[in-house]
Amino acid sequence: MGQTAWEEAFWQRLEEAENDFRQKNGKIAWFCSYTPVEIISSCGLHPYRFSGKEGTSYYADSFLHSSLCFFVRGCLERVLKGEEKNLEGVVLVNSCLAMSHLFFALQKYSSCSFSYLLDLPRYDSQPAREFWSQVLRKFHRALSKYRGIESTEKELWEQIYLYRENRRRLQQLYERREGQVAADGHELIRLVEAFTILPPADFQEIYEAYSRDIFNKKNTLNGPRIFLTGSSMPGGLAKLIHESGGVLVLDDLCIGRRILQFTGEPEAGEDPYSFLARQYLQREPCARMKSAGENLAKLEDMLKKYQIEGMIFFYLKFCDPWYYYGQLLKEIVKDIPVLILEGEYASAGTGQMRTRISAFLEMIR
Amino acid sequence: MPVAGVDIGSLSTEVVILEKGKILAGIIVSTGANSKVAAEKAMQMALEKSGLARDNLQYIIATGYGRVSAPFAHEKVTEITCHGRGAFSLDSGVRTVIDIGGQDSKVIRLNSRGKVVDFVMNEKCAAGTGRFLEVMAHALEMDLAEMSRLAPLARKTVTISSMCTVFAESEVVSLIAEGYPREEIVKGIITSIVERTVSMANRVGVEGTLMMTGGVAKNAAIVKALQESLGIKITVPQEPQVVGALGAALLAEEGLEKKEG
Amino acid sequence: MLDLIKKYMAREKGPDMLRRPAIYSLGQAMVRYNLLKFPYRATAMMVEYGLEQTKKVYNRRLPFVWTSAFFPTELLHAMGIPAFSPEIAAALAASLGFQGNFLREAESRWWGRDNCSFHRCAIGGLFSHYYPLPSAFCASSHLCEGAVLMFGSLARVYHRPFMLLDVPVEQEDDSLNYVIGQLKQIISSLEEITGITLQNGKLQEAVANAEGTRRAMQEINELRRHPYSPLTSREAFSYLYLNFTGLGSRAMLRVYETLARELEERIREKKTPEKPLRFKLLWLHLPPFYRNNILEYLEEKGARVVFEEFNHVYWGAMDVSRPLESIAGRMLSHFSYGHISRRIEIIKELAADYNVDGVIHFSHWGCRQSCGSLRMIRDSLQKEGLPFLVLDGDCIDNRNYAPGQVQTRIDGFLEMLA
Repeated sequence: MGQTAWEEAFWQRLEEAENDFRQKNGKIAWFCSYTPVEIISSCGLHPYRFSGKEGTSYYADSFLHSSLCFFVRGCLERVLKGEEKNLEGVVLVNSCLAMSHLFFALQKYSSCSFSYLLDLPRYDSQPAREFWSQVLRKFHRALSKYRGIESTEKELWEQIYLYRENRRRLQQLYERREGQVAADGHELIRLVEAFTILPPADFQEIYEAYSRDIFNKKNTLNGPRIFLTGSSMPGGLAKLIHESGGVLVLDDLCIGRRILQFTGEPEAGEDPYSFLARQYLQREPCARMKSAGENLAKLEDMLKKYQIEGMIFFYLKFCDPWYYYGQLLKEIVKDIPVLILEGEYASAGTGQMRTRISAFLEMIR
Repeated sequence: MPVAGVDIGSLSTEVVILEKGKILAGIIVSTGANSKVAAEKAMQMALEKSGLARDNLQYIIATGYGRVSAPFAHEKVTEITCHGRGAFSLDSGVRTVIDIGGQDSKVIRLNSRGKVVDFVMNEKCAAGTGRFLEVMAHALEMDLAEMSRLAPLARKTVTISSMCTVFAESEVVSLIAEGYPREEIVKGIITSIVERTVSMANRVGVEGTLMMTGGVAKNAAIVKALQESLGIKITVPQEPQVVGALGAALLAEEGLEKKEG
Repeated sequence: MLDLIKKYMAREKGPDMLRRPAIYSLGQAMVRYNLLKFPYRATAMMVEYGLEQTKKVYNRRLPFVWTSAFFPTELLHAMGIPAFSPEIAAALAASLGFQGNFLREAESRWWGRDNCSFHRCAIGGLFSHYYPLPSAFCASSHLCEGAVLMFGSLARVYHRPFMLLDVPVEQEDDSLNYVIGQLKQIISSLEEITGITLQNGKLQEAVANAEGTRRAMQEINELRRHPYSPLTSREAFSYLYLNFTGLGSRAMLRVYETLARELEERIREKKTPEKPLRFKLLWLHLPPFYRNNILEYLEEKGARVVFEEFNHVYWGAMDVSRPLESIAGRMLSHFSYGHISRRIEIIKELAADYNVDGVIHFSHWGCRQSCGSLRMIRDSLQKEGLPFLVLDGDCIDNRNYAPGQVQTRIDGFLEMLA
């Protein structure tokens, strides 16, 4: 889709910034969007979201069973093959069984010097928040100890505010999409990706360039208005919808909008762990949370509000949480056509996906 | 005292007749629809070739999928033990054996006495087996020999990113439709099966001389790719297909010795 | 008799009879008058209890709940709420040979064959109205994630409450308090839903039963180390129903105490097994429940599964004076939950205790928990010089069962042990 030279230069710059980042030392990879990046960063390390190697994972397959999802196997593949330079540590969340097994494998078979598994509750309740805040406190202690430093609560607050600012910035881009939209959703997802990779200050620059030079100068887009939801997915999928003529208005993804829902203010006297725990648990849930099914009730209102014409649901083969969520989606959402895509962590570009998406877009227009 | 080993696989059936460690006959026929008939036929041909009568055979061991229903066997032993035994007899330095079979692929680890100490086989699905190759060959409308011939001609490799046979087949179909040269797709398929096998081999660990047995070992393109991926040389015996039957025959001799004590 | 039932079940309307409470009364009478043959008196007692419970859930007037495999049933027994275990129902369907109907029913409405077939079968059973719709769905999050997700989804579809016991992986005070708080919450929700109040002292009684059961199980496990132990693995697995639904009940306590006495008696008789024992094996995860002869085939070949990971008593003594702490402690101490090294240590311990020659892992397709880290188990056992065989298969869906493939792997394994 015709990009101006301006835009091209911007995306190239973004990629360069990410590549520069990859050369850094002291990188801590995280894999699940419930990871408290603020804590990692307050210990002087660089947290960044790790994405799996797309395509086959033959090397990892001798370590993880073939009925675990392609994302975790792709992640292990990349680490074991040594494709990730200067990886100091990994932090995982026991968000699902596949992630736990990925953690065991990384801990045992990778050469990372720090590894940690966070125990994430499945509820968002007061006791769950208290429990999660204790988990976060212990994590902060463990990481400080590993670094041999005294990372204070004050430093943690600083990082919380830094990240929260960027989350707020990105959320602004997601606002006012009820009517006509200028920037397609895949661009926003790409920016969210940059947010999960770059250090906060670097990201802020990127964001400002985007909102100043590009975001406000775009023409409105025409095409079927699409809502994208589902599990972790191969990078190119959102773009494929755009290239096929759809307009991605809104997403419900952990690689997209959901990770931004952290904008609240601390209560008087609240410690940073309680604040973090509250912010992370109160956002729209991943399918593994107890409230995922309940949250579907709100979905219909949102679809109406954003005048969504079609929903695309993608789930990775062997991902149980999103498999079951998809079933509910199908049982509950009746007014809007839904395209269900099952896939591996690879097939975004193949003819198969393209054909399905194009046919779906033709059908709803 | 002549003995025989019969390997009844899903694609081909082999018979080896042995006397005092010397091979009197080695026969390969295709299994077809009826494994019993194929076994009888191969046995008949082997007997003719060695100039023996059925009664001369003192002990017969059957292996392979058809072993359970082998009509004339005194004993049944799995192809895991037989391939291990056969490979070790051909080269006592062998510690790892790879056999990509029609239904099952396996990597076998041997100790310094040729005894099986560990083995892994493919998981339930057909990816990484001879069956996978067949399905892909079918999608490309060519036979396995042609695949082997075409692969070296590829200048690039198309990545077959799908892991499962069902996904991979439709991926191959769409690659054909997108106009990729057939040799590149073939190379992609071979890479896929090779990487699968390597991942299995890593699970038991590769040590000592690595021998590849079974019909797929005749496919030079696969052996070459496997060598490159594992980073070690692979020994392929002259007749890789009869290694299972040879192992069975060797075990038959041992069985006979034990019996006669 | 069982053949007669299977024959009846094979008819189109066969499974219909399962929904009639009267059928269970009939079954109970048959057990009582010894018309059905069981290897142990304990088995007969269990069957009678199981029929009684099942009759209650099909009664349609009484409240009852669905429970996942590891949900603390002590709560339910304390309150007198019957539990229906969809996984056991799936195993039963498979053993009677009509799981196919349920699987197809599930697959025709919900897509995919990659999730656990215990759950797919249960979904189909509910969709086709053979499995009873409960007053609430109760799952605990440890080990089995699929059940949590399935219960959550079904609860939404059928507008029934979903009660989740969220069990953290770390065994620490925070975790204990978090679980205890939830147990209290679940009790009060159950009271509200069913109108049944938890009576004073009942929870203590249930925990006392559970503690007695734990001791009886330990006794049985100890007896199974004896060379003359007559209990086959297939028989041991037949008590799975109690392990999934019975803990906290007087019935489970009595069954296991009886079994322990019976085993003791038979061991005293010193009957040698029919086949000479060549190899002793440890079984990891569950076996298939449809018609198959894997365990029998092993016995035929002189290899006997002497113990199963599933029957390991992983939790410590329960304190009757602190019932909720005891239950929460039991949840948190599951060896197969949390870090994989916990499971590996127990496997090694069991292998040593039962002096086994090899270990078999039956990898149930779709069970991410048990299959996920097989490589680490293999590596660790290899260090101990313990041969390890992975059998890929499916406990419920026999379309995933390839007898030839399984036999080749077992034969190859036994040849290797020889």
